[in-house]
Amino acid sequence: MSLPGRLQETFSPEEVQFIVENQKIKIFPRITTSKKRGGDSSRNNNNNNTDNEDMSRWRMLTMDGRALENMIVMKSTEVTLWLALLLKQQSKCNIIIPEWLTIKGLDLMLQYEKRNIERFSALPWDWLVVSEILFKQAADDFNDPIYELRNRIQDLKEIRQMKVLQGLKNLNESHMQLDNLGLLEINELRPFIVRVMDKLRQIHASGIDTTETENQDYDDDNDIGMGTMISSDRDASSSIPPNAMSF
Amino acid sequence: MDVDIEDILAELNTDSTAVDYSGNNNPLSDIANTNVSTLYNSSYPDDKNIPTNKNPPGVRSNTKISAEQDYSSLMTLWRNERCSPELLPYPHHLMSRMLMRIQDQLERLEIISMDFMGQNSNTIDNSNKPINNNNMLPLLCMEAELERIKFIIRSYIRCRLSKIDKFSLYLRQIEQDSNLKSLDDLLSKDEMIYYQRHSEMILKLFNDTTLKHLPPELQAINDTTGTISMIDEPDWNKFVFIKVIGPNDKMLNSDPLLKKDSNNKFFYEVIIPELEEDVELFIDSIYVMRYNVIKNLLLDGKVILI
Amino acid sequence: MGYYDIDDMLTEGSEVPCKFLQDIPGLGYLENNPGKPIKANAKLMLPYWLAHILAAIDSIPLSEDSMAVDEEEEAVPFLEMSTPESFSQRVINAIKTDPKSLDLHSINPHFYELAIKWCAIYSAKDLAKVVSDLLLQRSQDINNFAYSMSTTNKNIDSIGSMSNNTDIKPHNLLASSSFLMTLDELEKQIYRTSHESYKDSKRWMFQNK
Repeated sequence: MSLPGRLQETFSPEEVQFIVENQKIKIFPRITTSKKRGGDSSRNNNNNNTDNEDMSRWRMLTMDGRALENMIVMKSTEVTLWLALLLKQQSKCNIIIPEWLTIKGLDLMLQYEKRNIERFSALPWDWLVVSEILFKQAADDFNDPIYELRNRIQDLKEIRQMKVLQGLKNLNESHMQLDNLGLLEINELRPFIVRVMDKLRQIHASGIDTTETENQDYDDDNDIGMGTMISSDRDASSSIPPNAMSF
Repeated sequence: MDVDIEDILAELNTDSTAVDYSGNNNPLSDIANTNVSTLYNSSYPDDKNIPTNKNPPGVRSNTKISAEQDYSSLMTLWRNERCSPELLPYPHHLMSRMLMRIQDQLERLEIISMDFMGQNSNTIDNSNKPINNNNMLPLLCMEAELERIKFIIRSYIRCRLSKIDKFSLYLRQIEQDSNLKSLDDLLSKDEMIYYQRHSEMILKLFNDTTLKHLPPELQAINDTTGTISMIDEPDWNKFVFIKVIGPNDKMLNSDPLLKKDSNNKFFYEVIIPELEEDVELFIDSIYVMRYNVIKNLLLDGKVILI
Repeated sequence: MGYYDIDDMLTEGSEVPCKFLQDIPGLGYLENNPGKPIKANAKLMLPYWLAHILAAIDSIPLSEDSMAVDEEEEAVPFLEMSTPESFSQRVINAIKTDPKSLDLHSINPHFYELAIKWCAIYSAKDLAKVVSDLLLQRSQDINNFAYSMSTTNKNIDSIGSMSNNTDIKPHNLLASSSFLMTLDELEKQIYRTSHESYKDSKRWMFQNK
């Protein structure tokens, strides 16, 4: 198979991380890339320009490269997360920890989670992934002690997991609303939710008499032959007379 | 790679391969403003920021699509493809722009690294060691980025190929039922070749190993008249996770499908036919919903699969 | 579902109690009586795939072509299926009493799939409701179990530095295998895929630490 079975069912956590890494994050550059802007502005660059200066410039395909072109030491700018991590690795920047990923921010979320037993706090959809990545790769950029933050993330995870478990009691054949659930949370629940709901849907559909005469009970003897036959689009074996059999 | 860059490049006007590196204020956003203009051959939008997705095939507009926009469209398409039970239309134009840019970037990176090779007699090590020479940094980042793009394209194509394998008989049925055009929209040229060769080979294998030894009336592999159809169709009602995005132009008031509730929140109203149930899908909310119910919203880019 | 679905075929192998409504020559071998006819009112167990066709087969000419049913007033199907043991009142009662501790696998390893087929034939709404509730209730335990197994496994696998305390008590392996034994095949699949998924996430979280 060109795609492993498990990946046909859901994303791998690494792929979720990949998706999240396309998000923007703020950094403090430790280098200045902005230079000779006056010289450039008068020049009409084209593809044939193999000038060394030019060729070493940033030309990105997944983001607007201007932010990278114009980095100035300690002047905050916004880049995609994966790039921020790369720069960080090269000691070229510090990552500005997002507001919610502080003791204060997480405590607020925890409070909300505790007060509203039926709701999820409005953590960003990538909270679990971003926090894990930054703990690991940008530990020195935090002002708060990491273990304190980790504990809170863990608490949030658990309290939300409890709510998820409650919510799963309401799985049904129709639909569910899952606002504020993070992508990693969704992703790990996906196989369970989809499988159970798909099966509930099939069971429900099987119990429904989908004939057109459904609402008019036994109004006409003529229907017994044809009308009551098709009872499910799933299974053509439905061309079977309704030997009334009920529970 | 299953997509042949050469083919695509050959098709295009030679000028178009020269990615415009224009603009003093915006020197870095690639602009594909040549013959490649429509986003899609079908009405499937591949960019939420571009309102021209309804252009019929062949209509040329001068919409400029930045590399960044294309990439974000590709991410969405990849995620949609991975989550949807059926094979979604192939984004011909977007992919050709994407591959063109990759090709261009590759050449560019080669030139840059050759320059460095010339400068430093030492071989350059692009691994994770800190790079002292700041001039190397863009190269490192661009290479890393290219790997990410390649990954996403590979994964996207792999996912599509697995569906082409799975639904090869079903695709054949589509091919016969409707005109060939629809399959051309659904598959890329290379996918089409793959699909045709693959189903030929499978059929030959079935025939040689088993079918030819059976009586003729038992040789069918695509009989749909029995109790169970032999052709596997996508599970149209499969549950998928969706996020409601809204119209491409973000003009909530001008989308005729959007309704407002008492709190002035916008929603799409959908019907689950089997249950005769109306459901309100609010903008920015996440739902688990039957694929068939949201399929049209998905193709219009108003919801995405997550 | 689907033509080549092995679980679907196995489901159709489930035996259903049948009563023949007509004498059929030469069919006696079904009840170890080769060469003899099978008599009307003979009762025996037949696999679903055979039974449901024989139960249907004679009614088709009645509706489509009345000429085919010549002098005979009423066309009777070859046989009549009665409720399989899996859906008997006894089992239904057991389900209603304590769905979670039921050994569903011993009742029928393809309980849900057979139920879907049965409900579809007879439009058995009530049975469908019972079965839905059953799945919903049991799936909670399956999910808890899949989740907690993924944590215990990790604790076993890992260096031991992690103590991921969830509110679900880690089951020991003995309890786990006996729990899994009671699941029907569909439930096992649900367990397997959810477990894989949880384990995957945990692995990712762990390697990131």
